[in-house]
Amino acid sequence: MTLERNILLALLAGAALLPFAVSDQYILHLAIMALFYAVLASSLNLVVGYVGEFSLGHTAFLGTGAYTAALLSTQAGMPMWVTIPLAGLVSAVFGFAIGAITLRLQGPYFVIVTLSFAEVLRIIANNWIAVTNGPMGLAGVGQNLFGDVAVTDKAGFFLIVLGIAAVALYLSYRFVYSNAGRAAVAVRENRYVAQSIGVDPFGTAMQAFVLGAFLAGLAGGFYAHYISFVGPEVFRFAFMATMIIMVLLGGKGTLIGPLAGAVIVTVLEEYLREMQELRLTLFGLIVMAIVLFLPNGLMGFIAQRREQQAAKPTLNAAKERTV
Amino acid sequence: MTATTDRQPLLRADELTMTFGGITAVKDFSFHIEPGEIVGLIGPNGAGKTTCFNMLTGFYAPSNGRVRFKGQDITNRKPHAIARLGLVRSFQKTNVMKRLTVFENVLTGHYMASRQSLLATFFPGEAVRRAEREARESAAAIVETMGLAQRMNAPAHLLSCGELRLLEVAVALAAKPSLLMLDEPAAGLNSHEAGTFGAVLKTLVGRSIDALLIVEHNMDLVMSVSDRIVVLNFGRKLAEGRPAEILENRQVAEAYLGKAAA
Repeated sequence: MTLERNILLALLAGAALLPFAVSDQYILHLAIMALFYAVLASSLNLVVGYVGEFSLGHTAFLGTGAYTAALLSTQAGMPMWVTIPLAGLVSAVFGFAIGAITLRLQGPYFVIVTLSFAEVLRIIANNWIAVTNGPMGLAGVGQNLFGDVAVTDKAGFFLIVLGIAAVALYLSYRFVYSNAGRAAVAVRENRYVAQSIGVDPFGTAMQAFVLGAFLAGLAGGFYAHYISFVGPEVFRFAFMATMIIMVLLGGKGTLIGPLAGAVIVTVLEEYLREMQELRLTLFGLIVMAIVLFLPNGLMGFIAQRREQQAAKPTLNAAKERTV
Repeated sequence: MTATTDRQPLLRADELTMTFGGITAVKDFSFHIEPGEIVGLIGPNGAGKTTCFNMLTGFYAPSNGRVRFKGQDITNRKPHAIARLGLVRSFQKTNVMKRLTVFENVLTGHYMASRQSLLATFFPGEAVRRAEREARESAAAIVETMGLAQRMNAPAHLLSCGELRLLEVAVALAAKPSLLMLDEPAAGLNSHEAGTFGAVLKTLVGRSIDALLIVEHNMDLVMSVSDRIVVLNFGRKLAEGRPAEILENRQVAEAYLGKAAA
C-alpha cells in the first residue's frame, strides 16, 4: 500500500520534469498519448478489476466526454478548465444511467449489453447531424486553458494530461484502499460472503463503475482539446481493444499495472509502426504471449515472485522445526 | 427458559415454507432463538437445514411464513440489509476471499462498522482514519481470538481446511453480529480440531455475539455446545429440546439410523 503510493508519487514527480528535460516534440507527443491511455486504462481497471465484470463498452464514456468537451468548446467557447471537468461529470451521469441497467447483469450478459451501449452512442453520434455534425465530426475544438490563455505547445498539453492522470490516480488510490474499495473486492472475490457481511453488491459496483466513467470522461475531454477534433470513431472498438490490452498486460486489479500497460503499449505501437502491414499481426502475437504466460499481467507476475520469495524462508523454518 | 417467554425472542420464524417447483424443501417450520442461547439445528442430509438458513438470511424468499429479528419483520429483505441489522451467517461450502490474506479477509468483514460517505472516501478526515485504525486493531484481535495469529498474512488459499473454517467464523465475527449463524462450521475438521473449535464457539456468546445458531453434522460438537436443539427431517420439525432429551428421542434416532427391524 505505502510502497505502491510511493512508487506512484515518484513516477508523477519524475514525469513532471519530463517537458523541461525533453524538447523533442515527437517524444512529448508519445508521452502525452501514454498518459492519456494511462488515465483510460486506470478507469477501465476500476470496472474490470474492482467491479469484476468485463466491460466492452467503456468507449461510451470516453466518447461522451470527448463530445461534451468538443460541444462546450465549439458552441459556447468554453475553456479547458471548464470543459474537461464537465466532460467527466456528464460521463459520470451516463455511467450512472448505463450502470443502473448493466450492473444487474453478470458475466457474458454484462459484456454484451455494455458493448451495445457504446454502439448505440456511436450510431447516435453518426446520425444526429444537427448536434454532432455526423461522420464529419466536430473540428476546431479550442485549445485555450483559461479565458484567452491558449496552450500552444506539447509541453503545456503534457502538463495538463499529467494533472488529469494525478487526479485519476489519487481518486483510484483513495477508492481502492478505502472501506468501499474493500467492499468492491469482496463482491468481486465472493458475492455471497460480501452480502453476508452487509455489502450491497449493486451499490458497491455502481460506485466503481461511475468513478470509472468519470475518469474516462476526463480523458475524453482532454483528447478532444488535444487532437482538436472529435468524430464518431471515439466510440469505435479500436480504443476499447487498446484499453483492454493495457489493463491485461499491466495487471488488472492493481493501480500501477494499467499505468505500466499504457506506457508499454503506446511505445510498442510506435516501434511496430515501422513494420507496416506486419504491425498488427506482431502486436497480436505479443499480446497472446502475454496472456498465455503472464495471465495476471506484469504486476501479477512481480507480486507472485515476491510471494514466492517471502514463502521460501518460512518453508525452511518449517523444515528446521520438524528436524 | 420459562423466564424468557414473556420477552421477545431475538429471532422468530413462523411457519416457514419453501417450495422449489413441485418439491417442498421446508414445510411450516417454526422456531425461535433467545438472547444468550446457542441453538443447534440438526437433521439428516437433505432435511432442509441450509434452505432454512437461506430463508432466514434473505438469500431465498420463503414461499410462505414470516421471519422476525429483534422485533422487526425481515421476511423478503435483501441479504445485505438483513446483515446490517446484525444477523450474519457463514456458508456450508467454505466461503472466504481466497486471494486475500487472513488479515485482509477479516478487515473486509468490518465493512459495516467503517461505512462512510463517498466524499469521505476520496477526502478522508480524522474520523475515517480513526475508523480505519479501529477496524485494523479489531481485525487483528479477532484473528488472535480465532487462533489464526500465526497465519495473519498468509493468503487464504494456503490455509488448511480447519484454518479456513476458523477464518470463515472470523470474517463473520468481524461484521459484529448480534446473531451468528454457522452452516456446518466443523465439516472437515478432525475430532481434536472440532473440540477446540467448540470451545472457541462457547466463549463467543455473551461476549462477541448475543446468540448462535449452528447447523452441524458433528454430533459431539453440537451436543456439547448447544443449549437447545431443533431437529429437522424431510423439511418438518421432528423434535426440539435439550441435547440430552434429543439423544434419547426415539424418532430422532429413527430419522438418522432407520427403524429397527421388528
